[in-house]
Amino acid sequence: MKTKVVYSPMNEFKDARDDIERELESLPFNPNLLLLFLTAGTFKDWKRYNELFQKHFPDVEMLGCVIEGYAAGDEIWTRGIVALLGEFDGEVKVYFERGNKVEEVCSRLGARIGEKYDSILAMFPAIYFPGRLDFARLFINDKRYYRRYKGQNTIEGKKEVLREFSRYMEEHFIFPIDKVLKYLSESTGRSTPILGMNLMPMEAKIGTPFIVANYKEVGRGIAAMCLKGKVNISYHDVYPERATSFEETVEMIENSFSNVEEVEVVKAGIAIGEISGIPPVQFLREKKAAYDEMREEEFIERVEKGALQAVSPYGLSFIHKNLLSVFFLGLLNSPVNIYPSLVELDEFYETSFFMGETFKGGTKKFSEIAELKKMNGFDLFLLDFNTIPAFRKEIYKILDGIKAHSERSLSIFTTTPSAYIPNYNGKRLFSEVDKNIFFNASGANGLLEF
Amino acid sequence: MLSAISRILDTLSMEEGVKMVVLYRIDGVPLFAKLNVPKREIAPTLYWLEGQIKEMLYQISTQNLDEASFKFGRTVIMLYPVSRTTVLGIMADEEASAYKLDIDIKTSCRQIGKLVTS
Repeated sequence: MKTKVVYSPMNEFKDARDDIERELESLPFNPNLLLLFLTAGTFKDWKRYNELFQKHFPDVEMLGCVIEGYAAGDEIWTRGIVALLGEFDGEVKVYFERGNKVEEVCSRLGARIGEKYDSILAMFPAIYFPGRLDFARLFINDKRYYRRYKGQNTIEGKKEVLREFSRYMEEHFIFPIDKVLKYLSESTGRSTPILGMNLMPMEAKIGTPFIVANYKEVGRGIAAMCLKGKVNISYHDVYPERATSFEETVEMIENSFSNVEEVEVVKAGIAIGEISGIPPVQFLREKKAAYDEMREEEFIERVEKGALQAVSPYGLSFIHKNLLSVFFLGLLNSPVNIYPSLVELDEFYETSFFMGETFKGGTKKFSEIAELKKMNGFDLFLLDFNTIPAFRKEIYKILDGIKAHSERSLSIFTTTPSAYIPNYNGKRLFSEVDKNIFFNASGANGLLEF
Repeated sequence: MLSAISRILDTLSMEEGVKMVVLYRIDGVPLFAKLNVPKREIAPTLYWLEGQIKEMLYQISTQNLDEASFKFGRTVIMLYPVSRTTVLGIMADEEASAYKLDIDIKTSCRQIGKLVTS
């Protein structure tokens, strides 16, 4: 594929536009594909960037979203804008569907996509941050459901309340990542690999995550760039190969993370009611005294200002009952009693582990994704944004490691990606949250080769 | 070269929460300064910094430090060596996204480093 990466680290629209137009003057091919990535500093001007690219490339198939940073050439920036323009030697088409019910949205989208494509790049909001009113409703509902939860005398009764709360959360805020990949893969014939950008901004803001498809705002929905031709999807995590027994898996968790503590969790669907007998956020505050109680108003104000930290170095490790894979869920200090998960937890053990995040092996482990390359064309790396707070400026070492294997690439720092890879036969990844479905809240990366 | 350095510092100074960006010579002489706030707002910090900067730069140079930073009220001051003879100083509000800023500063240092050593 002929490609050009166009970028500007400028946050001011006029400056960035000048940089981009200068780059576009010398474009030596006619692109049919555009991936547009805005950062927190340029997101406010998305309509103007949309118009700018639409003016130059009205007929390309385009997909775009907000990311945390990018590596283009020798530079890494967390500001400005970056775009990948490509002349793909095959068929490329972007589809999107809006809606609140994950199964319904995936089925509609899958029916339009069909079974003819070789790979899909999907973008969707894992958690959508709506307006003040929706959050006020969430907090009221959280209290209402939690009162009912506490009133139950049996675990099954508690789980029934959590299942109802899960349905509410799925219809208003969360697209469970495993469900999106499961339903989308089923409705596209189960043989098309999918790389998921399950977006959740590092600093949450009203209206984010933001997705644009063929120059139209998607809102709460799923957009997919479908490719027929020479493409390859790979997925990699930085953890050891998974074990063959529960006990060995526990040992691996204890060796891989810090301050590991066994806990009993009451959970159902995507909701967690308690950790060792108390609400999850209260448990976090009792373990980590640095976290003060966060009031609802403070939470909303932070989201409105775009200053809510949506990453946490502390969380829970869940072990899958059949696969013995491990799913990590960060615990954020927030004013809720029932805590939501990003994947369905029914197939995971109740015995789980509170732990602190560490990345054994450092930056080197994150660039190992480049060693999975199978083609010699252009590479789009989706790198875990947790590397930004974990390694700060040392993330340059990840870029150096990638460049040793990849001559032409664009690396995006975004929410830890997900993937559906049919007939997967690689390393037994920690992050296989369901058969052939891969995701973790941190420590995993994706690669799309053209 | 001067206009290229100026543009890099402009980019960095426009980062949210950044109050000032200065490129120092290792003996403490400021080569470039970009302010993002009125001078009077940071005058007391600048006055204090003037008395400290030579010592700090000397420490960075002789101890071979990768970076040095200190906090002054709600203001954070960070110093990053760019080359053997230049150091980049950034004054930022404590609420600025420190880890993201760190990456953009590193990129700017690499860019300026290439210009001053070529």
